[in-house]
Amino acid sequence: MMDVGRHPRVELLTNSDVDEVSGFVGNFRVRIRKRARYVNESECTACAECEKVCPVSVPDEYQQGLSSRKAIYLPFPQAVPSAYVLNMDDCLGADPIACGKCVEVCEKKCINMDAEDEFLDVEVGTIIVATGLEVYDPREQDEYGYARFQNVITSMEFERLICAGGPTEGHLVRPGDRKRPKRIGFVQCVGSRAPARGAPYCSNICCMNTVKDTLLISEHYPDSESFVFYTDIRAFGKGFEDLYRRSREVGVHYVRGLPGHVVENPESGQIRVDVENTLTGELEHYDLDMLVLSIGMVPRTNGSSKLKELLALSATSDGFVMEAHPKLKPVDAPTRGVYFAGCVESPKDVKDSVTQASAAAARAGALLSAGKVQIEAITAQIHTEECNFCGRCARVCPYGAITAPNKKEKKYPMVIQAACAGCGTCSAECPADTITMKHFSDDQYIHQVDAILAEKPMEKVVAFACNWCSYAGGDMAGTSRLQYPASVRLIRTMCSGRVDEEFIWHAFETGAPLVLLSGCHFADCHYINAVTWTQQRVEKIWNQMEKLGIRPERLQLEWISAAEGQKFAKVMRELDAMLKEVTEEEVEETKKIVAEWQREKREKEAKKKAKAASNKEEALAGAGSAGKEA
Amino acid sequence: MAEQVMFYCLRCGHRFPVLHDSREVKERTCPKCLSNSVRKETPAAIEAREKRGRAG
Repeated sequence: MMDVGRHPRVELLTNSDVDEVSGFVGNFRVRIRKRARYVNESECTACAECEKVCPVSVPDEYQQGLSSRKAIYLPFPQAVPSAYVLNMDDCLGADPIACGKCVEVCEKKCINMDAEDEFLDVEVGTIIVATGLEVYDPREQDEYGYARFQNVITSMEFERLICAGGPTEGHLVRPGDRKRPKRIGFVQCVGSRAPARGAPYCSNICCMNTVKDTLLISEHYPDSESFVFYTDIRAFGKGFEDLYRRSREVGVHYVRGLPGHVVENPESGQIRVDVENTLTGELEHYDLDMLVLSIGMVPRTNGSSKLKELLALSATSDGFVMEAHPKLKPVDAPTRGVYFAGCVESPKDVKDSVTQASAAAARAGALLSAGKVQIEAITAQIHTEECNFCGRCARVCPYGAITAPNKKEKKYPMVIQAACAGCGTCSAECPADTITMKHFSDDQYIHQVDAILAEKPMEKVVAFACNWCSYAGGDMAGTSRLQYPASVRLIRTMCSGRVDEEFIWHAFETGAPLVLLSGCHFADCHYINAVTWTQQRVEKIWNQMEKLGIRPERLQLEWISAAEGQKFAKVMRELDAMLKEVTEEEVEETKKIVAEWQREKREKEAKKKAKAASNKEEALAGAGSAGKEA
Repeated sequence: MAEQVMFYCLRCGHRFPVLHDSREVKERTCPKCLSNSVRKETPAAIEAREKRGRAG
């Protein structure tokens, strides 16, 4: 951290938040709110005189509340910059009657109670998100008694207790009576691998953290005994299995089973743990001096949703940010020029965090040193003459690549070509049909539909499949030599979000008995969340089909990943079976209904346009005559 | 606010309850045939299906 703080080409902004992000890869403009520190960090020598006179005492967050700090304090001993900070929420104020002692005592006069937040605008080429995570709050699992018993602590609190820089200077004592605990229990998976309470995933580091703690206890206090209550010990990674074996060799007791009942003796502070040992099938009781809950990791909540919104990031089902590709682009965000490092992406240990941070820095460096970026060939283009300023394109764009229009200022939406990934959701969602995709126009799709249905339409299923998942799933089925009927005819789209309602209605109007719309699973969507718009659009079409008296079953929706060749073949077989249930009469009836409905729709639109045009003419004529009179 | 609603599958016709939040768009699967062509059951949908059933 000190190296970063001293580096001539690194500007370190602590106590700061990202307020706004605009622009695109290579040209991001970031507005940073530098929160008031109330202490001039370049002048402060960290002499601690202010801290000595401060009368306020509050729990120290860094020490997990196990010791106290003052309202003016150094966040932690190795803090960079090494300067004090004043927490105004805790401070009594500058008014001398209230307090103001720190201001009086500071010889360098670096405390300014009237300081305000500063805003900085910086231009950057790439952004690395490394906002970390939070720890699980074990109060939810009341059976462990964390909130009720003093000698039940979390693994984070235990870390502070055994740390030389901690509140006890590394001497292990239990919080209840400050006596040294001799029998210490560790409960694993508190808040991890528990879908009902906590997180469904494994938090990755807790097992090895406990193994390390037990070894540390055995080395420093050989007369102590440690008990680990676990579901499974996950010791994968270089050297970890060896560490686990050493822990067992020094006599740490590993009990397979999680405690069902924990009570504390109010007089002695002893903890009694009842646990079913799932290896022996017996109920066992353990009397302990202290119980440590090995708490899991959860995604950050504070400020995280704002950052996701600013950078157009999406989250996986567990709440951590989603990478552009879990295997091939594990440090890239779907938004170009944005990278991830550390636990913002998933729970990981120091080694993995450093590895990912190095990878993110290398990715960012490679992009910046190239000096230019290669943009997608298939991008959106807005033909502003028909635009009605509804702003839907800007709202649906997963990348924030379209600037919002403003009718009053006659500001049309604009596509930032470098940020557009070419999903085509804007084109499909535009109610005025003013957006076209370069190299993949609406007409090209319509002609493909026409070509499919030109001969023997009753034997065909018109299927729209996204390039990255469903179409690749078809490839997988093919390379795996899986048999599926030839009745399904695929039209490749970059994203299922590109499939305009009109393509589907055109297929029905042309005589398609069955239409399939297929895309990526929500978590795999190549275009962040474009697939959610697909689903909403399909639901809308189903409703309309029902209103028109067409069976919604004739439009099928399926999420198929690139690896799901089996599913692809299964779905195609099912659709082939469904195809046989559609009669020629039904298709003919549908053709008539859709044609009539489309005709009515076109007439309404034409009337609307004519009315708008006449209103415009009248307004112009009115303005002209007013001008003459004047 | 999530509420318990009935969904039905447009592939196999299976009806099943789902905890549904209208503000949330999420991937849904029919528990019987694993199809993603599932849809919220509405009075209009039931009526239309019954009508088609009678006609069929």
